[in-house]
Amino acid sequence: MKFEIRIKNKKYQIEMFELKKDKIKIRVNQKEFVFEDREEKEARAGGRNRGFFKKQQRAKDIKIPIGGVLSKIFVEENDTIKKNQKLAVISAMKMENEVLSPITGKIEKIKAKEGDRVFEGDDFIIIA
Amino acid sequence: MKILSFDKLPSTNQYAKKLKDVKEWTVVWAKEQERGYGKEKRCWYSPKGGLYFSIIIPDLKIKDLEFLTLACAVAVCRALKKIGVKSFIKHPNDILVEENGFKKICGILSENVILSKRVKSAIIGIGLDTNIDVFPRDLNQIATSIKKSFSICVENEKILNSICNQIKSILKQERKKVLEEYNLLKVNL
Repeated sequence: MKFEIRIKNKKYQIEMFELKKDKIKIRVNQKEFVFEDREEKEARAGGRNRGFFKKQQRAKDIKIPIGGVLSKIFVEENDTIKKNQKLAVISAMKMENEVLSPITGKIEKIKAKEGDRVFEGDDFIIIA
Repeated sequence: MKILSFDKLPSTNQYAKKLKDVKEWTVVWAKEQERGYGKEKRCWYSPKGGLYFSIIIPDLKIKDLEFLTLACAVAVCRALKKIGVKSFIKHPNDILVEENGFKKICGILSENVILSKRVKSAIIGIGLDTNIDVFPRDLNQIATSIKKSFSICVENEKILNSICNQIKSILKQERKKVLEEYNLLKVNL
Protein backbone atom coordinates (compact mmCIF):
# COMPACT_ATOMS: atom_id res chain seq x y z
CA MET A 1 0.00 0.00 0.00
CA LYS A 2 1.43 3.37 -0.99
CA PHE A 3 0.10 6.85 -0.32
CA GLU A 4 1.09 10.42 0.46
CA ILE A 5 0.09 12.59 3.39
CA ARG A 6 0.80 16.22 4.16
CA ILE A 7 1.38 17.54 7.71
CA LYS A 8 1.99 21.27 8.16
CA ASN A 9 2.84 21.58 4.45
CA LYS A 10 5.45 18.80 4.61
CA LYS A 11 4.87 15.82 2.36
CA TYR A 12 5.33 12.26 3.59
CA GLN A 13 5.51 9.29 1.22
CA ILE A 14 4.11 6.30 3.09
CA GLU A 15 4.51 2.65 2.09
CA MET A 16 3.17 -0.24 4.14
CA PHE A 17 4.09 -3.93 3.80
CA GLU A 18 2.89 -6.98 5.67
CA LEU A 19 6.07 -8.99 6.41
CA LYS A 20 4.16 -11.83 8.03
CA LYS A 21 1.13 -12.31 10.28
CA ASP A 22 1.10 -9.55 12.95
CA LYS A 23 4.31 -7.98 11.63
CA ILE A 24 4.26 -4.94 9.37
CA LYS A 25 6.84 -2.56 7.94
CA ILE A 26 6.06 1.11 7.34
CA ARG A 27 8.39 3.20 5.22
CA VAL A 28 8.10 6.98 5.72
CA ASN A 29 10.24 9.02 3.29
CA GLN A 30 12.78 6.16 3.06
CA LYS A 31 12.93 5.58 6.84
CA GLU A 32 11.65 2.17 7.85
CA PHE A 33 9.72 1.19 10.98
CA VAL A 34 8.80 -2.40 11.85
CA PHE A 35 5.87 -3.19 14.16
CA GLU A 36 5.16 -6.60 15.62
CA ASP A 37 2.54 -7.96 18.03
CA ARG A 38 4.62 -8.83 21.09
CA GLU A 39 2.13 -11.35 22.50
CA GLU A 40 2.19 -13.20 19.18
CA LYS A 41 5.99 -13.17 19.14
CA GLU A 42 6.08 -14.72 22.59
CA ALA A 43 3.48 -17.30 21.72
CA ARG A 44 5.58 -18.30 18.72
CA ALA A 45 8.72 -18.66 20.89
CA GLY A 46 7.07 -21.64 22.68
CA GLY A 47 8.64 -24.30 25.03
CA ARG A 48 11.72 -23.57 27.16
CA ASN A 49 12.62 -20.66 25.04
CA ARG A 50 9.24 -19.07 25.68
CA GLY A 51 9.65 -19.32 29.44
CA PHE A 52 13.05 -17.66 29.23
CA PHE A 53 11.66 -14.93 27.02
CA LYS A 54 8.81 -14.23 29.43
CA LYS A 55 11.11 -14.02 32.42
CA GLN A 56 13.60 -11.75 30.72
CA GLN A 57 11.29 -9.53 28.71
CA ARG A 58 7.98 -9.30 30.53
CA ALA A 59 8.76 -9.10 34.24
CA LYS A 60 7.58 -5.64 35.15
CA ASP A 61 8.47 -3.61 38.17
CA ILE A 62 5.46 -1.43 38.97
CA LYS A 63 6.45 1.75 40.76
CA ILE A 64 4.24 3.97 42.89
CA PRO A 65 2.94 6.58 40.39
CA ILE A 66 1.86 9.23 42.91
CA GLY A 67 2.57 9.89 46.58
CA GLY A 68 -0.01 9.30 49.30
CA VAL A 69 -1.32 6.57 51.57
CA LEU A 70 -1.79 3.11 50.14
CA SER A 71 -5.37 2.80 51.28
CA LYS A 72 -6.31 -0.42 49.52
CA ILE A 73 -4.47 -3.25 47.76
CA PHE A 74 -6.73 -5.49 45.69
CA VAL A 75 -4.22 -8.24 44.81
CA GLU A 76 -2.02 -10.76 46.59
CA GLU A 77 1.26 -12.43 45.75
CA ASN A 78 0.85 -15.31 43.26
CA ASP A 79 -2.43 -13.88 41.93
CA THR A 80 -2.82 -14.02 38.18
CA ILE A 81 -3.91 -10.63 36.96
CA LYS A 82 -5.08 -9.14 33.70
CA LYS A 83 -4.05 -5.94 31.98
CA ASN A 84 -6.09 -2.98 33.31
CA GLN A 85 -7.03 -4.88 36.49
CA LYS A 86 -7.24 -2.71 39.59
CA LEU A 87 -4.12 -3.15 41.76
CA ALA A 88 -4.53 -0.53 44.47
CA VAL A 89 -5.89 2.81 45.59
CA ILE A 90 -3.54 5.55 46.73
CA SER A 91 -5.26 8.35 48.66
CA ALA A 92 -3.87 11.84 49.00
CA MET A 93 -5.24 15.37 49.26
CA LYS A 94 -8.82 14.09 48.91
CA MET A 95 -7.91 12.26 45.74
CA GLU A 96 -8.50 8.56 45.32
CA ASN A 97 -6.07 7.29 42.71
CA GLU A 98 -6.75 3.83 41.32
CA VAL A 99 -3.66 2.13 39.97
CA LEU A 100 -4.20 -0.38 37.16
CA SER A 101 -1.93 -3.14 35.95
CA PRO A 102 -0.22 -2.30 32.65
CA ILE A 103 0.24 -5.99 31.75
CA THR A 104 -1.20 -9.45 32.17
CA GLY A 105 0.87 -11.71 34.41
CA LYS A 106 1.41 -13.15 37.85
CA ILE A 107 2.14 -11.10 40.96
CA GLU A 108 5.62 -12.15 42.03
CA LYS A 109 6.16 -9.71 44.88
CA ILE A 110 4.28 -6.91 46.67
CA LYS A 111 6.71 -4.54 48.33
CA ALA A 112 4.27 -2.37 50.31
CA LYS A 113 1.24 -2.92 52.51
CA GLU A 114 -2.08 -1.21 53.12
CA GLY A 115 -1.72 1.90 55.26
CA ASP A 116 1.86 2.59 54.13
CA ARG A 117 2.81 6.17 53.30
CA VAL A 118 4.27 5.87 49.82
CA PHE A 119 6.17 8.21 47.54
CA GLU A 120 6.31 8.56 43.78
CA GLY A 121 8.86 6.14 42.34
CA ASP A 122 8.84 3.71 45.30
CA ASP A 123 8.94 0.02 44.40
CA PHE A 124 5.46 -1.47 44.58
CA ILE A 125 4.72 -4.68 42.70
CA ILE A 126 6.72 -7.08 40.52
CA ILE A 127 4.64 -8.79 37.88
CA ALA A 128 6.24 -11.75 36.11
CA MET B 1 -18.04 21.00 27.15
CA LYS B 2 -20.72 18.35 27.29
CA ILE B 3 -23.23 18.29 30.19
CA LEU B 4 -25.12 15.10 30.98
CA SER B 5 -28.01 16.05 33.21
CA PHE B 6 -30.11 13.72 35.38
CA ASP B 7 -32.95 14.17 37.85
CA LYS B 8 -31.45 11.58 40.15
CA LEU B 9 -28.35 9.36 40.24
CA PRO B 10 -26.87 7.11 42.90
CA SER B 11 -23.66 9.14 42.58
CA THR B 12 -22.34 11.42 39.84
CA ASN B 13 -18.76 10.23 40.41
CA GLN B 14 -19.81 6.59 40.06
CA TYR B 15 -21.65 7.38 36.82
CA ALA B 16 -18.70 9.36 35.47
CA LYS B 17 -16.31 6.49 36.26
CA LYS B 18 -18.33 4.18 34.05
CA LEU B 19 -18.10 6.42 30.96
CA LYS B 20 -15.52 5.13 28.50
CA ASP B 21 -13.12 6.96 26.19
CA VAL B 22 -14.13 10.47 27.16
CA LYS B 23 -12.23 12.82 24.86
CA GLU B 24 -13.66 16.21 25.87
CA TRP B 25 -14.58 17.93 29.13
CA THR B 26 -17.75 16.20 30.27
CA VAL B 27 -19.95 17.06 33.23
CA VAL B 28 -22.31 14.59 34.91
CA TRP B 29 -24.90 16.59 36.84
CA ALA B 30 -27.65 15.20 39.07
CA LYS B 31 -30.34 17.21 40.84
CA GLU B 32 -30.30 14.65 43.60
CA GLN B 33 -27.95 11.82 44.66
CA GLU B 34 -29.14 8.70 46.40
CA ARG B 35 -25.71 7.58 47.57
CA GLY B 36 -23.48 10.61 47.23
CA TYR B 37 -20.16 10.17 48.98
CA GLY B 38 -17.03 12.03 49.96
CA LYS B 39 -13.64 11.07 51.32
CA GLU B 40 -13.38 7.45 52.47
CA LYS B 41 -16.86 6.85 51.07
CA ARG B 42 -18.45 8.95 53.81
CA CYS B 43 -22.05 9.85 52.93
CA TRP B 44 -22.59 13.25 51.29
CA TYR B 45 -26.07 14.61 52.04
CA SER B 46 -27.51 15.22 48.55
CA PRO B 47 -31.18 16.22 48.57
CA LYS B 48 -32.95 18.21 45.82
CA GLY B 49 -31.88 21.83 45.79
CA GLY B 50 -28.13 21.22 46.06
CA LEU B 51 -25.66 21.15 43.20
CA TYR B 52 -23.95 17.80 42.60
CA PHE B 53 -21.73 17.21 39.61
CA SER B 54 -18.61 15.44 38.41
CA ILE B 55 -16.27 16.79 35.78
CA ILE B 56 -14.24 14.44 33.61
CA ILE B 57 -11.08 16.15 32.43
CA PRO B 58 -9.17 14.38 29.65
CA ASP B 59 -5.45 14.50 28.86
CA LEU B 60 -4.07 15.27 32.29
CA LYS B 61 -0.62 14.28 33.49
CA ILE B 62 0.05 12.68 36.88
CA LYS B 63 1.92 15.78 38.01
CA ASP B 64 -1.22 17.89 37.30
CA LEU B 65 -3.49 15.96 39.66
CA GLU B 66 -2.36 17.47 42.94
CA PHE B 67 -2.55 21.00 41.56
CA LEU B 68 -5.98 20.32 40.11
CA THR B 69 -7.47 19.36 43.46
CA LEU B 70 -6.31 22.69 44.95
CA ALA B 71 -7.28 24.62 41.82
CA CYS B 72 -10.86 23.35 42.07
CA ALA B 73 -11.16 24.81 45.55
CA VAL B 74 -10.02 28.19 44.24
CA ALA B 75 -12.47 27.88 41.32
CA VAL B 76 -15.42 27.28 43.68
CA CYS B 77 -14.43 30.26 45.86
CA ARG B 78 -14.20 32.49 42.78
CA ALA B 79 -17.63 31.34 41.54
CA LEU B 80 -19.14 31.96 44.98
CA LYS B 81 -17.56 35.41 45.17
CA LYS B 82 -19.32 36.32 41.90
CA ILE B 83 -22.69 35.79 43.60
CA GLY B 84 -21.66 37.67 46.71
CA VAL B 85 -20.72 34.69 48.90
CA LYS B 86 -17.40 35.01 50.72
CA SER B 87 -15.86 31.60 51.24
CA PHE B 88 -12.68 30.05 52.58
CA ILE B 89 -10.68 26.88 52.02
CA LYS B 90 -9.84 24.27 54.61
CA HIS B 91 -6.87 22.30 53.27
CA PRO B 92 -6.90 20.60 50.88
CA ASN B 93 -10.27 21.58 49.38
CA ASP B 94 -13.21 21.85 51.77
CA ILE B 95 -15.07 25.12 51.18
CA LEU B 96 -16.34 26.90 54.26
CA VAL B 97 -18.35 30.01 55.02
CA GLU B 98 -18.49 32.04 58.21
CA GLU B 99 -21.50 31.31 60.40
CA ASN B 100 -20.99 30.94 64.13
CA GLY B 101 -17.39 30.11 63.32
CA PHE B 102 -17.06 28.19 60.07
CA LYS B 103 -19.45 25.76 58.40
CA LYS B 104 -18.84 23.55 55.38
CA ILE B 105 -20.73 24.49 52.24
CA CYS B 106 -18.94 22.45 49.57
CA GLY B 107 -16.92 19.26 49.31
CA ILE B 108 -14.64 18.10 46.48
CA LEU B 109 -13.48 14.56 45.84
CA SER B 110 -11.26 13.57 42.93
CA GLU B 111 -11.17 9.99 41.68
CA ASN B 112 -8.46 9.23 39.17
CA VAL B 113 -7.36 6.13 37.32
CA ILE B 114 -3.65 5.72 36.59
CA LEU B 115 -2.21 3.25 34.11
CA SER B 116 1.60 3.13 33.90
CA LYS B 117 2.70 6.77 33.82
CA ARG B 118 -0.53 8.04 32.32
CA VAL B 119 -3.78 9.38 33.78
CA LYS B 120 -6.43 7.20 32.18
CA SER B 121 -9.25 9.22 33.68
CA ALA B 122 -9.55 12.15 36.05
CA ILE B 123 -12.87 12.90 37.72
CA ILE B 124 -13.60 15.75 40.09
CA GLY B 125 -16.76 15.40 42.12
CA ILE B 126 -18.21 18.60 43.58
CA GLY B 127 -21.10 18.85 46.01
CA LEU B 128 -22.18 22.42 46.71
CA ASP B 129 -24.98 23.12 49.16
CA THR B 130 -26.88 25.80 47.30
CA ASN B 131 -30.65 25.82 47.85
CA ILE B 132 -30.98 23.42 50.79
CA ASP B 133 -33.35 24.56 53.51
CA VAL B 134 -32.81 21.98 56.23
CA PHE B 135 -29.96 19.68 57.26
CA PRO B 136 -30.24 16.59 59.42
CA ARG B 137 -29.49 17.21 63.08
CA ASP B 138 -26.00 15.61 62.93
CA LEU B 139 -24.97 17.97 60.11
CA ASN B 140 -26.69 21.11 61.29
CA GLN B 141 -23.78 22.29 63.39
CA ILE B 142 -21.12 21.69 60.75
CA ALA B 143 -22.82 22.23 57.38
CA THR B 144 -24.81 25.00 55.77
CA SER B 145 -26.12 26.14 52.39
CA ILE B 146 -26.06 29.38 50.42
CA LYS B 147 -29.80 29.70 50.99
CA LYS B 148 -29.54 29.14 54.74
CA SER B 149 -26.57 31.38 55.42
CA PHE B 150 -27.06 34.13 52.85
CA SER B 151 -30.83 34.00 52.22
CA ILE B 152 -30.37 33.80 48.46
CA CYS B 153 -31.68 31.26 45.98
CA VAL B 154 -29.24 30.58 43.16
CA GLU B 155 -29.53 28.99 39.72
CA ASN B 156 -27.58 25.76 39.97
CA GLU B 157 -26.81 25.55 36.26
CA LYS B 158 -25.30 29.04 36.27
CA ILE B 159 -23.05 28.17 39.21
CA LEU B 160 -22.05 24.88 37.57
CA ASN B 161 -20.98 26.69 34.40
CA SER B 162 -19.23 29.37 36.40
CA ILE B 163 -17.20 26.77 38.37
CA CYS B 164 -16.24 24.87 35.20
CA ASN B 165 -15.17 28.08 33.47
CA GLN B 166 -13.10 29.04 36.47
CA ILE B 167 -11.35 25.65 36.48
CA LYS B 168 -10.57 26.00 32.77
CA SER B 169 -9.23 29.48 33.30
CA ILE B 170 -7.12 28.44 36.33
CA LEU B 171 -5.53 25.57 34.39
CA LYS B 172 -4.22 28.15 31.91
CA GLN B 173 -2.88 30.43 34.63
CA GLU B 174 0.57 30.46 36.16
CA ARG B 175 0.52 27.94 38.99
CA LYS B 176 2.46 30.10 41.39
CA LYS B 177 -0.22 32.81 41.19
CA VAL B 178 -3.04 30.29 41.72
CA LEU B 179 -1.28 28.85 44.76
CA GLU B 180 -0.83 32.36 46.17
CA GLU B 181 -4.58 32.88 45.79
CA TYR B 182 -5.17 29.48 47.42
CA ASN B 183 -3.05 30.48 50.41
CA LEU B 184 -4.96 33.73 50.83
CA LEU B 185 -8.27 31.82 50.90
CA LYS B 186 -7.00 29.14 53.27
CA VAL B 187 -8.03 29.10 56.92
CA ASN B 188 -6.19 27.15 59.57
CA LEU B 189 -8.67 25.44 61.86
